[in-house]
Amino acid sequence: MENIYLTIVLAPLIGAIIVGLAGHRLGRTLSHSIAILALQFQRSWRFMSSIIMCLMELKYSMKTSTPGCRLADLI
Amino acid sequence: MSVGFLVDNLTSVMLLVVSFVSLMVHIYTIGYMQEDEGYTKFFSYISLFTFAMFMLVISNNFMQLFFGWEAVGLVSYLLIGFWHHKESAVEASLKAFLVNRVGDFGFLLGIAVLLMFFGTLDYAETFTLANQVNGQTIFGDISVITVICLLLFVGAMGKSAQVPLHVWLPGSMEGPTPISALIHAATMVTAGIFMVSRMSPIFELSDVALTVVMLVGAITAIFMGLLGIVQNDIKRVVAYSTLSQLGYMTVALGVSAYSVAIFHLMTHAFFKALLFLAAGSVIVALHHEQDIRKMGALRKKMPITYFTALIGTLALIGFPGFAGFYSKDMIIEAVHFSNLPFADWVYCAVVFGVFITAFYSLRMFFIVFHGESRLDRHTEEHVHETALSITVPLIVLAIPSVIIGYLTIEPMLFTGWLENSIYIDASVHGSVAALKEHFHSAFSLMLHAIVTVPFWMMVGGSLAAWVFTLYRTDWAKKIQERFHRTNYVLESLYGFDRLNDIVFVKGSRKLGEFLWRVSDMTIIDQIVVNGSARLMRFMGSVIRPVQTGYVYHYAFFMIIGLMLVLTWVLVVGENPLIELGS
Repeated sequence: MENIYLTIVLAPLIGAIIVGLAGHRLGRTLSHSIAILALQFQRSWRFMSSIIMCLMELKYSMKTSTPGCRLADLI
Repeated sequence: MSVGFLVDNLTSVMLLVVSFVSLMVHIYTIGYMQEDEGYTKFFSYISLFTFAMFMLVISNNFMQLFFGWEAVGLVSYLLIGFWHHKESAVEASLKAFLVNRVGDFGFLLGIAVLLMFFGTLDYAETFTLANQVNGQTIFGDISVITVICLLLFVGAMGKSAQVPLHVWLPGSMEGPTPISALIHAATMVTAGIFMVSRMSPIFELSDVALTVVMLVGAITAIFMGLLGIVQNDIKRVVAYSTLSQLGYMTVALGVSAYSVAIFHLMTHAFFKALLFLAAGSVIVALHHEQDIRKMGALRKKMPITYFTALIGTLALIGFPGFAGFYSKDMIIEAVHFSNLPFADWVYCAVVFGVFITAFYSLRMFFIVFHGESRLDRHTEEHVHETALSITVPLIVLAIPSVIIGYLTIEPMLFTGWLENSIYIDASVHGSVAALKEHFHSAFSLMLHAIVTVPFWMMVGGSLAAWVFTLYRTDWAKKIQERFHRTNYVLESLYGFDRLNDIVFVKGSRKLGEFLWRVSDMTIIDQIVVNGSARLMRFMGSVIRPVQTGYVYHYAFFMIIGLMLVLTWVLVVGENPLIELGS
């Protein structure tokens, strides 16, 4: 799990370094694609669905008085 | 202390908000900056900002937090001055940098005092030790916890632009609009709110600090909102509304409703980013015109921008059902249930703030999109809806601006979802507990709105905006003339800039000039450099007559010297040479 957190944090930094240093050579389209992809590393479909599931589970857990989920566990 | 990550539900909310708004801004930038020479540099900077913001929210200790804190400040400085050929942009970036350093100095002092008394910078250890340190005092009988909280809050005041450290935020609008949306509305400026929420176990121990937080927030909410009324720059109106909303969040922190502050932070991030991007869309369509007096009747020419801006405005003014309604209503109710001193006054301020918010938001909306067109002929002929890369982020951001409040109010505030991140001493600060007691469902809250004072304040503000901008435009001018002194105070921004200019800018210049005259010119130049030369010259002039060049003169002095030594030995009876040698 630690590695995932590390990747989430460092991916935009790597994107910034690549685009910052090689942006002129890469061109505009590739530059913004890299920046956006680096940002989107954690925003996979699994991540988004996890959030939705978590919120649904919370609503359910509130009605049934069972402990809710921790969104952090699902990232 | 070790470098590490703290990922709990509070972090998750922040990560979600930062990454989502950042994504929208990245996409928007493709269209907005397409003709700019610094296109790739801009993308590099916003990626770097996202990294810094992630570091800030995910840190598990104060050192990492401070690293992220400073890094976002640095990138903010770089991005405000991105168009460095504009003198105003350079000045604004410098202003932002310097004002933030004032806040950061307080923040750093707070961390230092915390380290001195807690012996650690790790969050978990700090929170565990908080109760032990609680009784200790500093500077006589001042509580250590209060000092730490107030110093940390100075940092939050700088970053989250609270009065009197707010002056940098309106100036930061000199930067490109995507940056205004990402950094100066949705993410970086909320770092202070996040930090205080994260430090809730410490803040909960000091009612003095909480009262100060609440009062500063209320002053910011009301007085910055009033400034939004007299602004004519489209981005500055939104900037002052950001200041006002940050004040609301700070008020929520003050009344120990940390989860409510985070809830408003989240909803505000979506609708304020939307409003900024919509403003940017208008600016692009009008060839970088930002004066709302030169706009008008854009409703039919820019339908997507119009509808998304309408959604953002309705969310901002707290129209029932929209995201801002739930979060703002919860803040007002939390203040209502607070038992802190001055909470009654603050309640009146935040309720009146709803009227002001509705007034300045809809004033801008009506002037820009309704009424008569005040565009010049050339612009009038060519104005049209902006490119897809600009309108798609608007549409995507409009969705959470409507539904996120309804969907998340219950899970975020009333299920204990943030309990593992936020600590509230419910026995002393019962606002959130009282909110929970009175809450039934998001839908019933919406229905109940019609019988609440804030709702009618919102309606009143909206009607006033309609009357003054569309129905009787001459009334606004008459009122402006009738209350010209008040208008002057508002247009001069309460004199903060003037005060800063006189006290800090001119004061530091005069201090520098004084130090230059006294230290550099007098002490170093005159005394040390020239003085030593003069001393040498004087000594030379004294000794020079002795240096005649005749051997018999030197022999004469040697004999005199020898005689003096012998006299010493004979009179005192000791051999000075032997003593000297030993």
